[in-house]
Amino acid sequence: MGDKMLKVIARTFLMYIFVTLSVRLMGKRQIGDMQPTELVVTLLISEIAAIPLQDVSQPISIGLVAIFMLVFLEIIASVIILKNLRLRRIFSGKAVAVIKNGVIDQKAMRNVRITIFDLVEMLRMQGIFELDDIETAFLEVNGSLSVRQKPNRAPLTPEQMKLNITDKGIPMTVISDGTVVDSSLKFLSLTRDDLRLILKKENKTIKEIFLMTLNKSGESIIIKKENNK
Amino acid sequence: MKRLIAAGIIAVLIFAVSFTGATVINSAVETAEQKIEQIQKLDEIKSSKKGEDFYYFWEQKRELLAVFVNHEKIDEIGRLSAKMVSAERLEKKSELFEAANEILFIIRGLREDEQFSLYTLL
Repeated sequence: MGDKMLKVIARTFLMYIFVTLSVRLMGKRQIGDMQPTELVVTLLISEIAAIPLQDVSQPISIGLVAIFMLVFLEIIASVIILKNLRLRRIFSGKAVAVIKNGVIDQKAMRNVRITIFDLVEMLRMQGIFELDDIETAFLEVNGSLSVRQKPNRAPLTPEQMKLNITDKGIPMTVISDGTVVDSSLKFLSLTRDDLRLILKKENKTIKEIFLMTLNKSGESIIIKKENNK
Repeated sequence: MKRLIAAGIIAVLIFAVSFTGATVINSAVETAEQKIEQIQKLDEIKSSKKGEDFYYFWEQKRELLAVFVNHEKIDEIGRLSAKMVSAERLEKKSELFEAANEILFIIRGLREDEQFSLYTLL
């Protein structure tokens, strides 16, 4: 392997670590959930990281300083935005009501530059096919649509039906591919010994299990590994 | 709070890299400039071995400079310094001065890149 190739490999490795750390520091949001500032920083980081990888004559430190500076600015901006509503509006924008009291606000739609086709598509993605069902719809800062259906069109809730539903809690993944997920056990206030006891009753061992979920009321789903040798 | 601490650490890193870069470049550029200016003032070129002196100086500095400076510029100065050594050995004064002038031009460019001005900003 030539020295140039080694240089490219080493640089790519370094950039991978730094960019991953940088994105990790920025938070956990998905692309679609990003605020405008986060999107800008993510796009810039990807561009800057590519330069020293493509052109090996560029010093890697220039790219690193630029990436660190962007992450620094993003963190500071997110802290400021959190404290100051006016700045939040400037940096992130604000949610816009595109349907008010069951009526489409055409002016608002023109302002946010979405067409009726876009609106109908976003509603369909939420499982709503009748415009008439909607009381209010907000186009959020991250571009997603939040909808409140008219009370007489919304699905009935157990409370409205006066039904008594017991909360069984969230099913947590306690074993994944033969490995115990300790954080899930902690969430359920259980220990590994408790888990072994449950499995003993089922006549199974941890290593045999592909997936096991458990909720607070003790209900579990167990899927055994295929081709278990 | 954790994020602010992270921002603080990042700010220190940015400052450290920028400060180290500026110090390394400025010190190398200053010494290189002095050495080249001495070459430009030479009357007797072969016995002085100033070209050779610059060549070894640059060989020593290039690795550290590569962390902060475009490698093509470092290599170009390396190539020109080798040209200076050969001109010195063959007592070709005009070639030696020509290479020295070119090195000085690149070195001054490096210094200019380090300075914060409207030219470097835009």
